[in-house]
Amino acid sequence: MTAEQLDELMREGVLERVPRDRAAAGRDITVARAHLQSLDRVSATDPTGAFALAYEAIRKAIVAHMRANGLRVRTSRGGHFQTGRYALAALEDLGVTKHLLAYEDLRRLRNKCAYEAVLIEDVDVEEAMAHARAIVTAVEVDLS
Amino acid sequence: MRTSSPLLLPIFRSEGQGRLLARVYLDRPATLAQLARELGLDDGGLSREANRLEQAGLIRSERVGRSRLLRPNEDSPYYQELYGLLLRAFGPATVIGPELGSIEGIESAHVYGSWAARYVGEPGDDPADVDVLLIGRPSQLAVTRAERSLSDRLGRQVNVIVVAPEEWEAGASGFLQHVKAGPLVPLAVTEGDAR
Repeated sequence: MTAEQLDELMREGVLERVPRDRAAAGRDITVARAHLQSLDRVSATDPTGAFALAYEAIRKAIVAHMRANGLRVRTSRGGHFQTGRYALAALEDLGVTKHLLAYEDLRRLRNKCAYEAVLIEDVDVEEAMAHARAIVTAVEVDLS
Repeated sequence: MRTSSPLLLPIFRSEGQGRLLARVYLDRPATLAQLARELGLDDGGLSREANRLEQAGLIRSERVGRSRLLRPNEDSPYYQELYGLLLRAFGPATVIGPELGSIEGIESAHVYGSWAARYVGEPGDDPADVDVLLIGRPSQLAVTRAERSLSDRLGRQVNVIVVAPEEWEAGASGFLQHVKAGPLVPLAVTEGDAR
C-alpha cells in the first residue's frame, strides 16, 4: 500500500476508519466470484448485463480489500469514483495496475449505460472480463 | 476573405483567419492550395492572409516545388498561448477525428449541437460541451477512453453518442431527426498524429 496516498485520501475525508472485518471481506469475494461465473453464462445473450456484472465484481473485490483493512469510502463524494482512487493507492503492489487504471473508464461506461441507450459490444465485455478476473484474483490472493 | 469574426472566439479579425490559423497550428503542414480547398476560401484572399500572418511571425512558409507549405512558427513568443486558444476554440473540428481514428468500427463522425452551431456561424452562448455523433459499432470502452482524453485536451466536456449505421440511415427517432436537422460538422476519422 502506498501509505502516503492513503493518508491523502484520509485527510480529504474520502476514506474513514472502521473495524476490520475479514468475514465480510470474504463474503464480498464470494459474491465477486459468483458475478464472474454468471457473466460467463450471460455474455453471449446479454452483453450489457455481463458488462455490469464485470464492473460490479471489480468493485466488490476492492470493497473486500477495504473491509479487510478497516477502511471504507464515504459515499457523499461519489462512492464508486473514490473506490477507484482507493484501489490505485492501496492495490499498487498487487501487480494489476494496468487493470486498475481501466476502472475509471469502466465506471464511466457503466454509468452511461444506466442513463443512455448504450449497446455494449462483445469486445467491451471481453475487456471488462479480463480486468475483472485479474483484479478479483489478485485481491483474493492478497487477502488469503 | 473578409468574413465576420468567428463566433467561437471573436478575437480574430475574420472567420477565415481563425480557421486558417487553427488548421495550420493544429494539423499537419499544408499547401495554400490544400488549405483553400479544405477551408473553402479563395486563393487570393488566403494568400494575402498567409502573408499577413507570416509577416507578424505567427506562421512560416516554405517553397516546395511550385507550392507554398504553411506551418506554425514555434519560435514565436505567441506560439504557446495562441496554440492553446486555437485548440480550445476550434480544436474539436481538427483533433477529435484523429483521436477516434485509432478506434476500429467507426464509419463516420460529426460534431452536432451548440459547438457545431457556433462553428457554422449560428449565434448563441459559448458551448459548455462538445457533442459528437459517431456512426458505427466501435468498442464503447475505447470511445469512453477517447471522451476522457479529448475532454482533458480541449478543456470542454466531450460527449460521444454512438449510433449504429442502420439506425442512422433509418433516422426514425426524434433525437436523430433533431440531429439531422441541425448543423453537422464532419470529422476526418483517419489515423493521424494531429497535435
